[in-house]
Amino acid sequence: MTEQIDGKKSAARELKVDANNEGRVSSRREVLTGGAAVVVGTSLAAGMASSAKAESGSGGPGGECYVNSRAKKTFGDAHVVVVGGGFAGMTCARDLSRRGYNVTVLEARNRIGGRTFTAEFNGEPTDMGGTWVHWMQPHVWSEIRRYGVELEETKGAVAERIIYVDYSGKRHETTATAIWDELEKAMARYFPNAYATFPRPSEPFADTTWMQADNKSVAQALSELDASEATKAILDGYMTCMGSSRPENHAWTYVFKWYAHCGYNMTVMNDATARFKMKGGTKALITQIAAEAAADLRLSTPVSSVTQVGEKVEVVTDFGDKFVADAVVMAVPWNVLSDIQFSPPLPAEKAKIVNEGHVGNGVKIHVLVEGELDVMAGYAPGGDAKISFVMWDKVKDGHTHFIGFSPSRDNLDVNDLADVEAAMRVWLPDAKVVQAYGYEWGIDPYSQGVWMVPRVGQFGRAVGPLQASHGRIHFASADWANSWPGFIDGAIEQGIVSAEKVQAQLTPNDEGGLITTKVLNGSEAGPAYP
Amino acid sequence: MTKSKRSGIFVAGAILLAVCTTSASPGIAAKNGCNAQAGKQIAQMCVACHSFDSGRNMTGPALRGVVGRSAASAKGFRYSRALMNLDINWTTANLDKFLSGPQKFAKGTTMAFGGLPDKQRRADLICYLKTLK
Repeated sequence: MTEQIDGKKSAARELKVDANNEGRVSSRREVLTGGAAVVVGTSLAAGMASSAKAESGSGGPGGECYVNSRAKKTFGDAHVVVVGGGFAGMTCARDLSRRGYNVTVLEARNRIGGRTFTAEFNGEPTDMGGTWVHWMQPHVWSEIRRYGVELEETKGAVAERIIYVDYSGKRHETTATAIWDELEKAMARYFPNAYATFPRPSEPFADTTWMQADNKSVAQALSELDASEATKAILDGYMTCMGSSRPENHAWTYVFKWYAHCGYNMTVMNDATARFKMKGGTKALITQIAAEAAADLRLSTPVSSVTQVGEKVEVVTDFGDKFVADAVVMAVPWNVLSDIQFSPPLPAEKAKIVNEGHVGNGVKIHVLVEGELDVMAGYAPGGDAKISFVMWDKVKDGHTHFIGFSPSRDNLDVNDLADVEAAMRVWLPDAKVVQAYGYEWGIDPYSQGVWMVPRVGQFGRAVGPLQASHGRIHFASADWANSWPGFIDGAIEQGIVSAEKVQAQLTPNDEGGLITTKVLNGSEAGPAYP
Repeated sequence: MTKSKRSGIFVAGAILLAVCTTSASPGIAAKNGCNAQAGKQIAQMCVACHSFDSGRNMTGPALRGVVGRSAASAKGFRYSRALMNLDINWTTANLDKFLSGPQKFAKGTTMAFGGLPDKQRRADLICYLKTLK
């Protein structure tokens, strides 16, 4: 059955979820308390009406208020299709729909969230993908503040008890008190001249010194590092985890950018990337973003082609349904983009980079061990490690929950408890694994990998072309974010940025009836600034 | 697929399995060489995406009643083309093949699960799935 949908404006628009006739729609309260499997929102018509009310005099000392001109723009039947319902797509959908666009979100899976996925593990909401956030990540922090999301801590990130394996496979126990200072100093040597190399980490094109430094892998940088073998082994496990691939396969500049964003400081970087997570999981945030989006959300709707025809874009799904839009935002992972047909074809440089894909394709695994064990962090070096980095997360009912990262599915079979137990026994020789789960992002056709991690020399080449719009087709993903590629922050940033790109493209000119900000109670009506 | 050094671990694993087999709870007896109680434990790795008792579709379809039903038939769930094109019933044999490697059995499936290499574990899991009515 094929269906052509033009996105005609309906009278009362709210986030309608066509989840395959599931017949279950959640209240806003359910959404906010995380009890919803699907998402519904309140009508944005109410929001529009309240700004009209403000203008007619229900606020302010003089009985009148400033009116935000952008909220009052009307866009007729302008329809935007957002492909992908992760943080980038949902943020974009929210921002556009709040401004009056008709938005349809097409999501391939039967859930929103993309490479963030809060699911149950040992009876607790647990993130299977993207997790950790921080105030050094401005876009996600702003949303956390806006929606009142609370933080919880993965104490293992700042564990006093540290266990590591050296390059000869020997196990050592130490403490943060004993080694953290040395690790920090070593990292400052690992990322030398950091301020000069990455002076503008959030603006990759403002100063491109970092691109010239993109000439070695993590393994190469470690081999050049002047540090003790123990320090190197720990940094190796850590960096390998962060690059979710063999250390010889990914770029040294990748984590360098994180370091630059964190005041060129290892303690802060560690806090920012491994310590604080959202209470209730990332679901707690994305459901609130989605609840504010007055959009049509279609789950289980993978897209196969996107074709620009004149001033319209036709999006065709795997099931043959066609959506016609005035603009499209591809909020789709880098490694998945090559599965979608674009017409006209993407420009050569962009197509080449799209087809390269990135190398982030390791494993994240949740492990439940018998007994209530002490807080600890574990490191094991090299591309062959079963698990590179493991952190204590919580204890519950006589068990301990650890989170581990492996560079490759080839190293660790998440579905083989014996293999997982062998991995944990590298640090905890008596560990009895009772349960383990890792979502297999690598074999999910809608991710084909984990967070973005670039190959050596790829990062600088890729960012610009991946960000570049293609006519009325725009691209939004954490994978090519300006500030924090590879993070939820990057996804939200790109959602915001792509909504702005669409608006700039579709905004009527001044003759189309823009309403400018009204200045009231001033000496004369006019602009707020001379 | 990794080839782990199983020596000491295998013994521990075998003991664990034996314990599960011999301590089957009343009502879920070991039948035909499979153990539903052990299967329920194995099914914990599926709970992120599937429901077992409730009939509720999640990221994946509800698995209540899956054994014996035709592929891609959970009410209200939109399957991938790969699953929809499978013109089969979920017999024990078909489930066994699927669970050993979903991408091999149903090329193009969007189920992100690499498979259970261990035949006994697959049998136990299917044993458990059979109890879901």
